[in-house]
Amino acid sequence: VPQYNPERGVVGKCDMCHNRLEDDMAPACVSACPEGAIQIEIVNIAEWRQDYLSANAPGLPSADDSISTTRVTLPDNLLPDTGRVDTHRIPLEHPHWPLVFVLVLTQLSVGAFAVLWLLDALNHKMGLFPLAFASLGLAAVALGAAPLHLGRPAFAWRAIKGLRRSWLSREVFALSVFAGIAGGFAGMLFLDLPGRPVAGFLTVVTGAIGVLCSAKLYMVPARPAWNSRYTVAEFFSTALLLGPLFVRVMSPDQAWIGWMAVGGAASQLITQTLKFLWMTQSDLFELRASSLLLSGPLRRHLLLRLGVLVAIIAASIMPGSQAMAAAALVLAFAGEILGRWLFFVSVVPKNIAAAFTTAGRAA
Amino acid sequence: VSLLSLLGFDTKQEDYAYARDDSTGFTSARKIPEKWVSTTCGYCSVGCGIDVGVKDGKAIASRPQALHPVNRGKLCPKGLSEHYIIDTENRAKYPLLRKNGKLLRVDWDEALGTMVEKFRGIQKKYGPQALGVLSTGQLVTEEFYTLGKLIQLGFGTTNYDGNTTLCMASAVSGYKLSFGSDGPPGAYEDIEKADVVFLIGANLADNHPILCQYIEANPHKTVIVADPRVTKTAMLADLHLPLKPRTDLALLHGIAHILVAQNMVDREYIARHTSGFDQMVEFLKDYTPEKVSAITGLSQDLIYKTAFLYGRAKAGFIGWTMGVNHSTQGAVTVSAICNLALLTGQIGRTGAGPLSITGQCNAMGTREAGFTSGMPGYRKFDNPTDRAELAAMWGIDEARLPMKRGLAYPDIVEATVANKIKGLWIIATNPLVSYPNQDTLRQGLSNLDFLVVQDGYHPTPTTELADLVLPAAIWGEKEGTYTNTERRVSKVNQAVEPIGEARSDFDIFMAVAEKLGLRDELYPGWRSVEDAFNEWRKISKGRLCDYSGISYPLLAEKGAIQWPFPEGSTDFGPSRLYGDGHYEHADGRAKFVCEEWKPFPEQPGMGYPLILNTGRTVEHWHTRTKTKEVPILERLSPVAWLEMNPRDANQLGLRTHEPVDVVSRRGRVKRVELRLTEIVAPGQVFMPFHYFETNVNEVTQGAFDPISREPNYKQCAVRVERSGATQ
Repeated sequence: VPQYNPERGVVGKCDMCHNRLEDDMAPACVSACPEGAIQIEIVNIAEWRQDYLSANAPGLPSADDSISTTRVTLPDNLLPDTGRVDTHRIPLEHPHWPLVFVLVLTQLSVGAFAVLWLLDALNHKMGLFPLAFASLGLAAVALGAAPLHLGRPAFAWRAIKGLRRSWLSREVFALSVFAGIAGGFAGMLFLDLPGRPVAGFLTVVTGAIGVLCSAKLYMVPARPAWNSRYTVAEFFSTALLLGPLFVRVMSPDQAWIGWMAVGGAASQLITQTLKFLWMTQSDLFELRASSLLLSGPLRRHLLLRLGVLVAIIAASIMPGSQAMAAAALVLAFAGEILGRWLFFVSVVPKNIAAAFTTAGRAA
Repeated sequence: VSLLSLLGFDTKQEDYAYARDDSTGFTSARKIPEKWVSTTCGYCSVGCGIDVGVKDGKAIASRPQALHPVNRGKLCPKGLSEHYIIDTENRAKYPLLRKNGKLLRVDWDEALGTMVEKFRGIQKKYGPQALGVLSTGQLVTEEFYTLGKLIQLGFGTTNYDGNTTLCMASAVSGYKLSFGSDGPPGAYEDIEKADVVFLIGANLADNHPILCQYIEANPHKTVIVADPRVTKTAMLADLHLPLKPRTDLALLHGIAHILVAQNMVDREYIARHTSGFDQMVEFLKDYTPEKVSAITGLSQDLIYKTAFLYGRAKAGFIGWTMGVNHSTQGAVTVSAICNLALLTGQIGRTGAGPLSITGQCNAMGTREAGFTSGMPGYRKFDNPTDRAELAAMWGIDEARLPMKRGLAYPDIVEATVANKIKGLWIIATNPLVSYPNQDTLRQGLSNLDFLVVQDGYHPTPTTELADLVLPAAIWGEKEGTYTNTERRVSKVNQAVEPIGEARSDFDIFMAVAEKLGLRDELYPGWRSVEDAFNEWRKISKGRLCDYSGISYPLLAEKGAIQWPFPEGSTDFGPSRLYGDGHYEHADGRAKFVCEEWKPFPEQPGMGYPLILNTGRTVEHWHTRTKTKEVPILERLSPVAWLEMNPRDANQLGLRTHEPVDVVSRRGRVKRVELRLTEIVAPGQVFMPFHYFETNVNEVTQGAFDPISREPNYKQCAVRVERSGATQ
């Protein structure tokens, strides 16, 4: 299991003490275990992939998730109902504040460019470039702030190296390309250059790919509450909600922009409701546990988040002043920040059962 | 934190570098010591051999000694992390004297000068017995021997006892009743060689984990565990006897009844080596399987099975710990265990024997060399030969030896409450966590004129109340010997210099004697702990606990050695007591002890429907002053918990992990995490005692064994309620 070392700013992972193995010495954990409970063996990968059932044990995530090569030898007299003991104590996960803002701001920016592209393509003779630059600025702030989340910000560029395997790399790449093309599109708006529909379209496509990559990044088996299409729906709903509201602050007279925002809010409302119901009905402990967090300690947060969406729908249907549009944007933005915070803290990861008492308090 | 590390350019590569070393192999360079110092673990009394790695004057690693006769290359989690306890934030580093209500740093001269002046003043004003001393089982034997002389001969008070009374006193008293002397008869090897291993009130897997390997190494064992809880040890058993709390004495009598009735007794052994058999047979008639089944809650079948397994064993081992000792009938329960061994002749040979598995690393040292419930060398206060012999060897007037034992630990506390003891010296123990019914203790300590606490750690709940705190060197910082459960004497060596201005307890005792003007008289010509050891060897010569053949050079050469080891002995093999059938009573025989079983004092009912049991967990040591500072232990077990059966919780409407209060007639422990589990039976709850933040001893009962004076920690009546529900 990878572990973050805050003193070093790096993540480390067990390498099976391969240097010790090369010296014909047992790994440190094997030689230290007082009861000899740990052994190390060479795994025949092909055979193991055929039959890895002995990596399963009560209280452990299914071996299917990672084809774990840890063979667990259980006592013969194990009771059939043996299970994890920590099911009644579900801690909130880390909120990852930089990521909350990165996600919401990039999605806002992509949504805003989609509206700008449409506005421009429908020949509105208004100065769209300040909005374009503002949207671009928000995306740039988000992308610039993202490395703050890293242990070694100076090496953020390395993220791009895993393009072939990693959704993180793809996200960074796609959003960077989006920012580049969006910058071009904004410049064309400013200089009133031709070819804007194509440039705008490319901006929206790369942005959408970026949002999709963001979603894919979170869709991992170890986080069941994230590992569904609801994540994709949630991220695109945010774009569809905040993008139009952002643009509408400058051009409140376009009713269809309001309706786009209504669509985004409704889509988010439906997504969140269905996701919650889906989790409550699941056979999977982690999903039920996530729903229990949302209906238990996080109930007020969830109700507030859904209430904001209802309010936005109501407010967007009515034509209003610029001030009202600004208020709607602020409210919706706060609601989505709250939503993304809920997204992070309410996920219950698949992990090895914790000790009976509150280990988290000291860790 | 520098900008370079914030940006991620500095990842402290050097601190985290790896290197190769002959002793450790490829490992973190920080963990490769300059030298390894051989010593003995300072936690429990299993007595594991351990090497401490030292680098730049700091202890940086611990490893088991591969060839040590006790631990055979293994250590438990506490031993493996023991080097972390030395250089911690909460170590006592300087003498502290209370001035105007505040503990202020003073120098050693002022500290000890004030201490002697205050103690002497109290003794002058209220009489010599107005000074009390509470010590420990964690000093080295040399220090116990030195302290005994200092208190009994130097200060001239007999009100001196140790934390061992809260722990092993019942075993001591039981052995004395049965065999005529203290001294655990068996050896660890017996666990491996017996065909029946019978553990009573002993959770080895949590408390003496290294002994479990002896069970595992035994190829033809049947393991029987008698414990009201399904402990980790009970889970290892072939036969678990989930008896009702504190019914062990009835069970033992019931087994003895069946042994006699089925003629599974060794009549020849009984005739040659014991007394009181006929009264015993008469006494046992009443303990029929029907009656014992009703008392213990065990089926007659289980009781018969146990009796037949033990009675027919070629070699039967019985081990016990606090489940037996922490009882108002502890001493006689120990004797009832000895009865079984005597009835069947299962004692003094390989695989056979009763063995009290001791608590603290050197509880045995204080029992042998100490001067509390007896005189050094298992000598009795009322035995004229013992008195004359000891006085002659010390070159003192026999009248200076006390005629009888002074007050025992709980009676010292009661005497502070009654204003009879006005000065108290507490050494290496933390009663404000460990003493039952804390209210009484707090009241007693508040009556004192002067309280001195000598400890390796500060603040602890006890040092915080002190008028004077003396900082002591701890394990790893000083030299001496420990004696383990199986009478094995092991060397303890200094790996690093004491922290701050801390001094070894030996040094402190010598300096106090100096201030008293008695150093030369009490300790003629002594310069080091080895001098103390050599005097103790002479004192022990010819006694059951004969150390005379053991010397520091021999320990360095041969490793740990079991007593008795008389001068000239060459037998380093496992040793047992009473192999010749000669016991220490005046007639040379062992006694059958007949004492009726009684229910524990505070039965549940009247608003307190549950029986509270207390105990330990493998990660922590006693009052947690040491293990709280070891992150890998503390993280595994950071808070106290209360085990309760789900059926009781359903009735009370309580849910697992919610905070609850445990309430007895004496007090309340607030906000304990509830743990619902079938490990405890309905009607019983269990709570560990390590945690001062939620101290179970706020509610435990101050009821004591009339013989051993050991507290009945294991049972009292409580109720459990949701935190915040009342008040």
